[in-house]
Formats: sequence, C-alpha cells, structure tokens
Amino acid sequence: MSAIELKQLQLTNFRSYNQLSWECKPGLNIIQGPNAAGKTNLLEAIGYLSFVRSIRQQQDQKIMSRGSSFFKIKGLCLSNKELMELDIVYQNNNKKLTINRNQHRLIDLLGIFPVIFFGPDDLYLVKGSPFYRRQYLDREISIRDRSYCQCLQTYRRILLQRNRLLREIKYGNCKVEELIPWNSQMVATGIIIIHKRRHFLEALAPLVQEIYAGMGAGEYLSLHYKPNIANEEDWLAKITVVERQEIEVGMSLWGPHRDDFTFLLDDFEARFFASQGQQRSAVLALKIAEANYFRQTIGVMPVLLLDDVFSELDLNRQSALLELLQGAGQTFLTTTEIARLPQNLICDATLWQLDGDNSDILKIIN
Amino acid sequence: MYYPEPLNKLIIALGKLPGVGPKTAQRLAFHLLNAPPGEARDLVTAITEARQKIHYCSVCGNLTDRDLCSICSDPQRDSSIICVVEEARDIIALEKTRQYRGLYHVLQGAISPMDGIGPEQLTVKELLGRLSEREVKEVVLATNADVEGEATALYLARLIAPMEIKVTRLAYGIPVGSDLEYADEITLARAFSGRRQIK
Repeated sequence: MSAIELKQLQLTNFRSYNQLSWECKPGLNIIQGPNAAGKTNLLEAIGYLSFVRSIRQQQDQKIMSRGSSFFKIKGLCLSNKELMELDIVYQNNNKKLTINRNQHRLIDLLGIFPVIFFGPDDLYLVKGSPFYRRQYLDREISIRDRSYCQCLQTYRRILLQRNRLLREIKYGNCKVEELIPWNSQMVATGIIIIHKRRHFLEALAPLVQEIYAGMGAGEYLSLHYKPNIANEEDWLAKITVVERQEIEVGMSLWGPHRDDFTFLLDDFEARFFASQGQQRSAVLALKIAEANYFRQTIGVMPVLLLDDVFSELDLNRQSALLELLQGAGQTFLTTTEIARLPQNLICDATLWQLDGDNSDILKIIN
Repeated sequence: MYYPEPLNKLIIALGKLPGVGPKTAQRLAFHLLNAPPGEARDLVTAITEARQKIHYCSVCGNLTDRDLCSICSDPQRDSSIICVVEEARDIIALEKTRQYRGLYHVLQGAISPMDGIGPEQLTVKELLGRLSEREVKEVVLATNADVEGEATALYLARLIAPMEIKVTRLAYGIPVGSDLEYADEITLARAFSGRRQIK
C-alpha cells in the first residue's frame, strides 16, 4: 500500500497565519492548543492542498488574513517515494496552482493529494439539508473520477441556461420548444451523474454498515441513495409532463441537482429519528468507511484530518476510531487538551503545541 | 492625468480592444505617436475602410466587401452541402483545411438564454430558407463542442429533420499529434464512443 505524506507546510496570509513554515512528521501529529489558536486553520490549509477550496465551505476571500491581498499555501508531499511540491496562490479572485513549479489547471490537483477530513460540522451530513450530502458526494466522487467533475461542471452550465430559459418562457419571451435541446443535454449529462453517485454509494454502504455494527450499538445502519429521478430511462419522456410546472416556478425541478441520500437506522431515517449520539456514530462510520474504501479502490492511504473529534465520542466509538488510526498513514489531530485523548494514542504520536499569542510557531513537546 | 488629453483618449480607446491591457495600450499609443506620420494615417484609413466596406454576405453571413462572399460566388463550390458555423472566423479555420468544398452558413452566435440569445437572434430562418429553396443534400453542424454549441446543433437538427436532408455533426475526438494521456476524460470518452472501423 502506498501512502501519501505531507513533509512540509508553508503558509502566507492564511487565516491566523501570516507566515508559517512547519516540518510535520509521519504518522500521528497531535496539535494541542487553546481555543482560537489556529488548530483548525492548519487542518483547513492541508485540506486546501487536496481540494483547492476550503473544507469548511468558506469563501476564499474570508480565508485571507485580515488586511492582506493574497494568500499562499505550499506543501511538500511524499508520494510513492517521490517528492512533490504543491503551490496554491490566491490573489484578485484568482487561484493559481503549480505542481513541481509547473503551472496546472485546478482540476489537475484532484486525487493527487487525497485527504479525509472529519470535524464537528460533519454532523450536518446526517442531520443537515440534502445540500450537504450532495456536496459530500460531489467532492468524494470528484477526487476519484475527474470525468465526474467535468460532467458536474457541464451539468451546472446546462442548468443555468435552462433555468434562465424557463423564466423567459414564463414571461412570454421564448417558446416552449426551445427547451428541447436543453432537455436532452440535461438528461444525457444527468444520467452519468446519477450512475456514478449510485455506484459510489453502493460500494460505500456495506463498509459503513460493517463499521457501524462494530461499534456495538446494536442497531442496523444502512445508506440509501435517493435519486430525484427514480427511473432515468424514462426521464426524457417524462420531462415534457413536468415542464409546465417548471415554467411556472422558473426553475428546473427534476434532476440530480436535487438528489439526496439517507442514513437509515433500523429502517428509520436517522436525520429525524436518531439521537445526537447515533447521528455522530453514523458520521464516524461514514468517514472510516470512506478511508477504507479509498485504500481498497485507489490503493493509496489518504491523509486523515481529525478536528477535535475524540472529545465527543464515548469509549466504544473512540476505540472504533483508534482502530482506524492504527492502520492509517499520516494523521493530523487537533485537541484542546492532550489529557482528554486515549492514552494509547499518544505514545507513538508527535505532540505539537500551538500558542494562542504567537500562532506562527509550532513546538514539539514530547 | 499624466498625459495630455488627446494622448489619454488614444490610450483609453486602444485599451478597449480585446487582449489589450493598460500597459499595452500605452505602448501602442506611444508607438503610433513616434511612428512616421504615414503609418498612423494608414491605420486610420484601414480601420475606416474596413468598417465601411465589410458587411455580411447576403446569403451565408460570411464577411465580404461585395454582395456575395467569395465562397458563395465561386461556381466551383459544391452547393449541395452546407456547413453551419457560429462565427465567420470559424469559416477561416475550416477553409484552411482545404478539405471542404461546400458552402457555409454563419449563425452569428449560439443559443444561450443567459445572454438573451435564442433562435430568433440567430440566422436560423435564413438557413431554413436556403434549405427549402435549393437542392441541399447534407447539412454539417459545425457549432462549438460546448453546451451552447451542442444545444444549437440539437435545435437545428430537429428543425431540419422533417426536410429529408442528411444532418451530420462534426466528430469529437483526440487532437491530431497529441498524446492520449493528455486528453481529458470527456473528450476521450466521446472519441471512444465515436470510434470507427479501420478498413
């Protein structure tokens, strides 16, 4: 199994970091610091090197340190014993990516530096609106499959044009028949998206189930894809039936842009019927399954980013996570207090201290 | 401002050209000022003349200084096949191949609801008129391979279908001389589905 490892991280004007150069270690890196010391910002920067966007769904404008006009993230990664330099500069609403000092398109970064992020906000994957789950699907499938990402971009463009046309038809500026070329393109691209989402979730579901069962909760967790288009074969035929309603509201109402998937706990939707603790376990199972799936399908151990997750887990769930960490590659874990972590975790880890006052310095304390 | 007013005006005017930023505009303006007087005058006449004399061909929409463009007025061209393009500059690209001997039709754009461009804003009516008037056997849809070009092609194909004329679309594929590994997945997938048997 090949693993990917971050050797060095350099930040300029990234959130609380004006200038940081950090030589991180292989294996487990535990970052301790008080609230607002910049722990999550570090994970966010590492995640940025993977997705070229914020893993906390923040706009790039807001990521820049106050008063600066650009930010820069540079990472030195070791992948298959080869050193790789990733460089992202954001300036004037524009992102530039260089890999080994050659300029590349942003899409070229997909899958090069795989990362799995798990933080408190991931609870929204279970209890939040479908928007979070679609975003999750799109991100996770994109890093494995570039053509999915391209399909998604095409689909969004078609959607924009079609929605505009629906409004123009509503106000009598265009004719209904002008929808036809957009309908067929929407269906052709949409079906690819639906198939890839279904395939991904079908592969992930048994892994999630197994891991959840291993936490000893007693209930049975399953993942279900809920495509907005139940039967894609007759989508194109049915589209003319729903068109009138779409013109009425001036929006495309049917298609994968309205997809969802659900977590079912013993056949009840976890979003509505599960306790906070059960929801948390479901997300944890999903994240661990994802890491395992990554190893199975791509053969690469992704870098794990765990943002303050242990504090909210009971002992059974802590041990499920510990089990994952034992087989894991490089991991970054933040906590406010090391004492709160399971003791057997700390012995092999590198402990870093982050000061609230001078966040540009990270010290090893063990 | 740092410049006398007439110079400033020139820089602003040049800066409106595509691909010309403030620095290039300034460089061009200084070049024109320092060049022999004839050079600037020639440029002025060239611009005025081009604006006055160049217009669209009354049949196909290509650029011309006469009523019919050089392609439409060429008796050697095969008038039974019409290649439909978005812009007049696409004709030049296709002509450079020296492969195609038929006629053209310029749509003057592609369907894009977001930009307020529908079939009415394009020369679709003119195209249909040409198809019904003359003996045309094939229409080649050579609009761009983006969503707008594709929508335009699909729209036209549907309109032409009842006229019993063969409608074809340019093939999608790998650029010649490029490596497979550098082609993006969508291009590759389309090239794959459009593969042909070697005879």
